[in-house]
Amino acid sequence: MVIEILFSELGLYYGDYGNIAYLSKCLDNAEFIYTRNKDVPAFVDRKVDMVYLGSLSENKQLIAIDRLMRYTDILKKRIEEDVIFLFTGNAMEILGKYIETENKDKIECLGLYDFYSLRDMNRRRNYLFLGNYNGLDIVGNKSQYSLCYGNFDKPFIELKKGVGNNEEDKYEGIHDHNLFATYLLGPFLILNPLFTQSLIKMIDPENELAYREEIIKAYNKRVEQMNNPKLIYTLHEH
Amino acid sequence: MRSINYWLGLWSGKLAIKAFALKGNPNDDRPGILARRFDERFIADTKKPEHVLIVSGTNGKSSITNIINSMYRKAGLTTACNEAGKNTFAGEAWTMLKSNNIFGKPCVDAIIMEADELFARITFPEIEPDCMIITNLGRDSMFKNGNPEIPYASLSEAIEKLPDTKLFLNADDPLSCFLGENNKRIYYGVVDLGKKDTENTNSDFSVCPRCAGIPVYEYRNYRHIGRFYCPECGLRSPEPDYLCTAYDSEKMSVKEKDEEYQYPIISDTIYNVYNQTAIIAYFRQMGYTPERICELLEGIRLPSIREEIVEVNDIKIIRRAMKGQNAYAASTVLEALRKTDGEKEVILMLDEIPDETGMETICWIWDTNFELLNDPKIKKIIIAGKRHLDHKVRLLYAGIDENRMVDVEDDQDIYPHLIKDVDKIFVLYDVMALTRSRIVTDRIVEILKAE
Repeated sequence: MVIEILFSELGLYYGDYGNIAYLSKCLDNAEFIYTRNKDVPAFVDRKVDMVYLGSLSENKQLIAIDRLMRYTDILKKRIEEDVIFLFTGNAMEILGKYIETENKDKIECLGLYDFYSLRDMNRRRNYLFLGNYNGLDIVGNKSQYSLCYGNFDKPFIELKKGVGNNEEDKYEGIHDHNLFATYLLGPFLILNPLFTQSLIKMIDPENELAYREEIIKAYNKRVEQMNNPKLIYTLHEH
Repeated sequence: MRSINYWLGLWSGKLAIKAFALKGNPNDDRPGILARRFDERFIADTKKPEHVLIVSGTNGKSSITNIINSMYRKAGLTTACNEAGKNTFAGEAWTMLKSNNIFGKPCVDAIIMEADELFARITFPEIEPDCMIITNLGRDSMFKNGNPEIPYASLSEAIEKLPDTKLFLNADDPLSCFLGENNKRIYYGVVDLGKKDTENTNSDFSVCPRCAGIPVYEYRNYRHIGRFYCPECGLRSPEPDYLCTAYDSEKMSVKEKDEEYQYPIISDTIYNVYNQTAIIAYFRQMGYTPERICELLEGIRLPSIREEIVEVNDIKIIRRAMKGQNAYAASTVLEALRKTDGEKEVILMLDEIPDETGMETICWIWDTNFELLNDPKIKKIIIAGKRHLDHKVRLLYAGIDENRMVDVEDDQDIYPHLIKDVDKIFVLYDVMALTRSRIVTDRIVEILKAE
């Protein structure tokens, strides 16, 4: 098993590190490759089972786009070959056509999917999130300057409470072959152990969740709390 | 000439301060909101005294602000200061109200202002500081600050509008040390303390800000604070003008040019040593002699909201703030705890949200270096609060033996698990859990006294 972590030095903000940390405990025998921004990604010329890219600062997102742009075709090919990709937080924006800033500047992205992001650095939006994927409750939170618009014909999570790709959309993220992209950020795989279980079993059916008892207990409690009608899903904006 | 709105803001704000004081809330910053409601540019329209100091940065600004304020008052100066930590628009306007009399003239010698770095671009030019201390930058609440580049950009924009402001910058903070290239910059720092380095699970400084290469540390004193260079482009940390060369629990030495002076130390935790070095640099630049600074430092304590130490039966109970949702601050506190001598017990009370209308996000706990608690000298860890299950998973990942930890939702369940054969009991609390932490600490003191 080979897990590639892209550009961890450029960010891994907002607790996204937890995803790698938890995977490393679930996949004891896996080789983890940490690809720096100046290196050629491993998925370009060798077999990898999973590729992860987490949240980035807005400046470092530009570097990530620049580094990945030259590998767009091979990235598309790997997606079609069913390699697992997980993009969390604003890493998802990179897969779209462009990001439009509050000054109306357009940042060209990889263009693998038919959507764009509208960013307003004067407005940080914070939400809790509850959704459904394949019958599983998906919980998490969002903290972002952008919303995404366009054609999401391959949605990842059906929205139950909170905000999806934008304030009108009833879905969150992209699921195409084994690519999962979501604006849910932080320790997504820890918050959603049942999803993680399905993910690691795609890599090898023998894989098991680490700290299974504790993490499922924490998940069940969270789902129960997130279903509380008194819970406020839109948090303070800054 | 100031507008009628300014005068309405001033007079109504001052009346409101008196009313809140009579109600027993002298630090309530709502009079500042009122003043700004009349005059949106109330802060800018306020006449400033001779000295205006801003203290900003991710961590340490409350401590520095309070200490400088106490020192100034001890020196016989009058000040206006938001010592209660109200550091955004309202608190800043409140401080301005305190700094002027009803005739709109300064009634204090100095304004000592703790100011939030995120809003720097808006408020700092209005505050018109002659000096500014920047403590450091690091990841803070993601909901408010996003990532460290956001406050950096705000500070940078503010400082561009303040070319005459003298900056006091932490030479060992790679994220803020390059601010204000056109300003007069005074750098402070701390030498390589040779303390055993602790692993930094998730650094805020992992690429060179100039070339995106991988920086190399000459040394790192805590978190990402230390001296670096970039082998690819040659960028490196600036040289400090005021350098702490040594410290112990009683005193610290600070070198400037070719001279070295000793000062009484307020706290020997490393981040407070940086804070105090900044304070010494500031007072030296304001013309105070080392001897006079020593006099002013005597008897100064950290604000009790941050730390309180009680000793019972030879056990020190240390109640210390550890901001939740702020991985940088939290990791810094853990790092200081790790470097503390003796056998310890640790009680974690880190939840911010007390009721069912809110849900604590746990992103920050995965950015926080809880691995620092994986230490044989820590005999027991008690996790208390609504998110105890999430913290337990994090501590298990940190490699902490399950037999050495207990997790409880209700604070009342802490006490049966206390062990009393340790040298120190740390009660680490989020600032929103201040009252809870005081109740728990008092109860622990009672239990120990009854032994």
